[in-house]
Amino acid sequence: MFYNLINKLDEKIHFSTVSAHCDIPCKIYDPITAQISVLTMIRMVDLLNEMNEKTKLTANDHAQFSRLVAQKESHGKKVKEEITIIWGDFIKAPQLEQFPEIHTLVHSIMLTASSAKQHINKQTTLALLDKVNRFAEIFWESKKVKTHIAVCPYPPEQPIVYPILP
Amino acid sequence: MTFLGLKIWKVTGHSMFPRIPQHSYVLASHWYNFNKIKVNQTVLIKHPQYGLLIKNVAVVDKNNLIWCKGENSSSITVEKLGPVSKQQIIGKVLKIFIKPN
Repeated sequence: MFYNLINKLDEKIHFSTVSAHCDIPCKIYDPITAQISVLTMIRMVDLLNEMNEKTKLTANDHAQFSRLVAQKESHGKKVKEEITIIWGDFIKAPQLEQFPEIHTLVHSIMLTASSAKQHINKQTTLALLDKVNRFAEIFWESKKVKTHIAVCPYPPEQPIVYPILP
Repeated sequence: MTFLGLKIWKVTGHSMFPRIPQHSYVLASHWYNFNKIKVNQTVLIKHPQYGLLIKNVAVVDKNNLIWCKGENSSSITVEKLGPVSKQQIIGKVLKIFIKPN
């Protein structure tokens, strides 16, 4: 009752504002960075597995091996970081109510991303993609944006949840 | 509009959610230097970098500097906000008016 009264007064006399300042309230959130990072991890695993088939490795192959592992590692960190930012900054009470699975899903993404970093295992990276895609689906649904699944038109050619934008 | 040292402020931003959601109103009293700062008290701060803020008092250190925090993880961190002096506090929140569901 008091709120409505004050709100009516505010329309007339415009109260001064005070900011409950967020870190950077830019409102720019998009799970695509996390999705592309998982695709990169899958691609790195594919390339590492190709190296596995070679009988002898040259110095160049060793250098390439280090680069592939480093990229897989850094993109694994990126997945965790991007998902954490959306989960911590964007997901609030209304989204939690609508999607009660979200805490469990995010925790599961963290564990799977760690596992995908630790091993050269395609199944783990694919499982990570499934989870990150589900997270993207929830994110867009919470913004009332419809999604569709399409295979990305570049290696590793895996299904990705994309928003359908007008 | 101030009346007897009391003023109503409109809150923007999410860092005080869930206690003070965005677009809530707060009734704040003018801050006098002799007022005693208490931990967890909600105050209005004139911050040199971020402007006029609403935050909770986290710590008052041995130099009498005040470190403030928000209610959730989206808030700018205590460290980033840095300490403020008593002179930078301009009001004390007495009452919160939240939009009814």
